[in-house]
Amino acid sequence: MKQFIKTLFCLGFVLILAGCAARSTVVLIPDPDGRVGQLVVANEGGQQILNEKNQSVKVADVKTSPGQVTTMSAEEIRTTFADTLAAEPLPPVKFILYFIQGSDELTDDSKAMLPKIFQTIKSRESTDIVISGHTDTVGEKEYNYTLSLERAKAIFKILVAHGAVPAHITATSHGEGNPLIKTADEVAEPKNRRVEVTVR
Amino acid sequence: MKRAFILCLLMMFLLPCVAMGKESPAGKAKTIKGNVSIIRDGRQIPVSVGDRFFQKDTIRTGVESSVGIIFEDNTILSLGPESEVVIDEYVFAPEKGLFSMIARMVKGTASYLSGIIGHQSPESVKFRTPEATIGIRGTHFLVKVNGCL
Repeated sequence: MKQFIKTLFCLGFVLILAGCAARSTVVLIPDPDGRVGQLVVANEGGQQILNEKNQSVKVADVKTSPGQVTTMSAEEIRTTFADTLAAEPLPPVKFILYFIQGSDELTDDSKAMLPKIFQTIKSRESTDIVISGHTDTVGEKEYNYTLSLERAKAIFKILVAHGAVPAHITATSHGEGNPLIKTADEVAEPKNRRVEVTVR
Repeated sequence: MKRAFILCLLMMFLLPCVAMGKESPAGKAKTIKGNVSIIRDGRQIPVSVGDRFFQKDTIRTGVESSVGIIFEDNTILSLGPESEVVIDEYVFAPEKGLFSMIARMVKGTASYLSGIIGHQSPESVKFRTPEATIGIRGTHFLVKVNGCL
């Protein structure tokens, strides 16, 4: 009897394994800006590289190397992934506002950009806005941390004054630690004196 | 003696949780269709637009359902119907230079679009399926996993 149960158990296990024809399909598609990146699909059996638009690879199991790289037709992509693609949220939009040296006052060019930010927040009905304040490397680290915080706060106030809900905004201060353009210490760089506003 | 040992074991698991305290969210649900839920600490919680996800969450969609998520680093992940993905690890702390995103697709369909982690530290992104690991060089891709049964 015991032997019989054992056999039955083994058989069931084998059936589950055999019936479980799990397979992965991976398709490389262009970024929203049209560029095409690269994917390495790898497992214990080997790897395949995808680096052209709509290239696809199927993988049967973890021990068998990914199959031949083929190109999936636009039609097949649409039918297989229609729901997934339709569920993709709009990519976040990032604005960069620049400041006058050593102050939390915007440059004139950046002031002119503000209405576009208000409009984007409104049209997306965004409940998720991220502000990050930055400085160039002129001055002490601590001073710059405070300055970038002041810059972030200034933008926070402007956005709230134009209808954004404070609870929807996250503000961070990076000081001189996260420059757009890497420079030596004590270098005045207008492009680093900034606040980045991401609307999601 | 045995009881003391079990107590020690329990503490070992529980203490780190207490020490971690409030964790920062990994991302937010931006689009929802139909039934979408997360499995967190063994509990299934329904998800609506604006809800937060954390690392270790399992995200599951029902029949004719879908979800679109934007992560803190702007990575975009969307799932089609009857899909399941586990966010095994998500760390986005650019001020400390710490990046990690490990996602595991159990079944269904998904679309992934790289964010800051994928562009600045592509080696920190691992997207797994039951059969393979997908390594990423700043890009957009689709995955389909035929689950068991």
